[in-house]
Amino acid sequence: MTDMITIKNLTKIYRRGSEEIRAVDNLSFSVRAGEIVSITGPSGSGKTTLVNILGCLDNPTGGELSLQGREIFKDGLTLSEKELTLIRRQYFGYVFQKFFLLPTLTVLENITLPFVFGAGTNTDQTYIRELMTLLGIDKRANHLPSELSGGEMQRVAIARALATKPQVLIADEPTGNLDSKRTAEIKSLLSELNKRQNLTIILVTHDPDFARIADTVLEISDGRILSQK
Amino acid sequence: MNLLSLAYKNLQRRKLRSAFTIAGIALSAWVLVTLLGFNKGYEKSLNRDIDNMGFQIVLTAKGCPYEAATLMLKGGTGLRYMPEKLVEEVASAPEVAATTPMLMHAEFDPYKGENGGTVVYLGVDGETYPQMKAYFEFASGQWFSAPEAKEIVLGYEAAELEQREIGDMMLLPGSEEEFLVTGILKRTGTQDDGMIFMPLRTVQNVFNKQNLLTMLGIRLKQGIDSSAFEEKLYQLPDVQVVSMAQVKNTIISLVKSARVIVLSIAAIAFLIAVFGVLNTVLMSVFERYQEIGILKSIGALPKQIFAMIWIETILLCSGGCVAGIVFSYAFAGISEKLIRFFLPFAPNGELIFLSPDLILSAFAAITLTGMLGGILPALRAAHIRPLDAIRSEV
Repeated sequence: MTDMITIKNLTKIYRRGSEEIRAVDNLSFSVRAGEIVSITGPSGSGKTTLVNILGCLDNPTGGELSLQGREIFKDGLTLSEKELTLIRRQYFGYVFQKFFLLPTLTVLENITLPFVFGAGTNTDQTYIRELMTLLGIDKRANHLPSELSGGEMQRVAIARALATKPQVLIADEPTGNLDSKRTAEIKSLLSELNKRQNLTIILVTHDPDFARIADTVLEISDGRILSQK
Repeated sequence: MNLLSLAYKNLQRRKLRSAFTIAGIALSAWVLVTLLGFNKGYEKSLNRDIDNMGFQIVLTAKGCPYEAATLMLKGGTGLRYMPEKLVEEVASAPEVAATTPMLMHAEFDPYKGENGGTVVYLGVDGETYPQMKAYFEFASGQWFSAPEAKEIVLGYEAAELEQREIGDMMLLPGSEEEFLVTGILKRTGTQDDGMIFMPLRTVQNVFNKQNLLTMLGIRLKQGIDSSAFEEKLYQLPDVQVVSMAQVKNTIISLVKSARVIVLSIAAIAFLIAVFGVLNTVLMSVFERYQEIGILKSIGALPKQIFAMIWIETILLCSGGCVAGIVFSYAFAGISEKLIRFFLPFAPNGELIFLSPDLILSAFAAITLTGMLGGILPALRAAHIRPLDAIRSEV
């Protein structure tokens, strides 16, 4: 498998007054295409900061990040906001703990929202229908988010993230708001998507069960890798 | 789905707030369009009224020029008189093409309406007056048969009000004699529609105003300098010279002064409405802080977010503006009645003239101002960083 994302000596430092917080501390590793990487660790360990940088939503303070060999960040230098947006459009889909669905749009409209902004080439209606069937929300296409359960809303958020056929899915605690039954559903769904679409998945989770579907489990503490399995 | 439909759906999120914002814009657009229409309509109707008078200069007895202007245009009480012999003196001047003497008389009629009212009679010369008013057409009948005939010609509205037809006899208040209705004029759209015309001599005799006039209409020969002749007329004793241009300018300058104040108020109301829009859209941006961040994370460029928010502002402003314009048309009649009630003098005809160019200009001005007001919230939204938005607890 080829490398999808490579980071070298990646560092992210926040300053709070005179205090310096190293949220990500000199990390180096690679994520291969089609790999599921689970990032775990206690609260405040730097998981979300790391995943945001990997997903080009945040800039590192130092170090390097390349995407399929293309340099995105290097020693404090980064691409323009427009270039980063285009990178995000091309490579990434995001799922967050909160679903962030637009309340006035139907399920189908929420899923196809990225196409309004030019992400993806064309709305592939057949693919969208397949995706909705796979996620079990095909019968909810014309419903508003307020008419859905939490699990359904998260599945809509996943469908929106995958609508443009991204190469990498960034999922930050995607089951944080769900009960155990829904969590199991999402877990098996992500595993299924990884197998079917060779989708690279980087997920942040507190749930140790996710380790079972992950190819690599990174345990982070104080911005450093404690263990890599 | 596209940016326009997305912006439209965003406005539906808080329907009541959007509706109130649109109502604010609609009200200010209504006021603005009505006032602009009034400005245009008033000037147009006044010009037509004055042009239809048939003479360029009027001599009246010396007094307040505004009173004289009102007297000429509308009729009135407290009339002043000048000697009839003046006619020969003025008519003999080489600049004069024609003159027409008039005697206006107002008499209280106890049987008019519920509590009585004033009836105005205009004594005119059956030879010269019709020549001045070449546009007069008779619905039925004709002018007087003789200079001292006991006859009446009614304006269109006067005939309707008095419910008279040709051949009817009318009893004048303060007189025991009956007068024959010999003619009813067609509608002219001027103050003449409400007039009761009688032969000049008859009015002088009936109301004991022998050899007196209230007005002398003067039409000048082609190419004569009106101002120079007016200067000459000022040499005559005890007369007031009122030129139509002067009347027009006097009234229009009075209306313009009032218009500046009213338009300023309308402009302030409109600015308040625009700030209302700005506030609404800005609040909506703050409320959707996280959502806008998500849109950016799924591929929205800053310029697309700017466009989306700007379209929301444009929809609010244009929607309000269209509603305001519809109100202006729908309530033009009521607005006109109100204006007529409050104005001391209003010309006949359409007072509020809503032309397509006026509507387009008002629509463009309101929407453009709204678009300017929308720049700030749109910029704020465009500069939201996706990560900050996702992290925030808003």
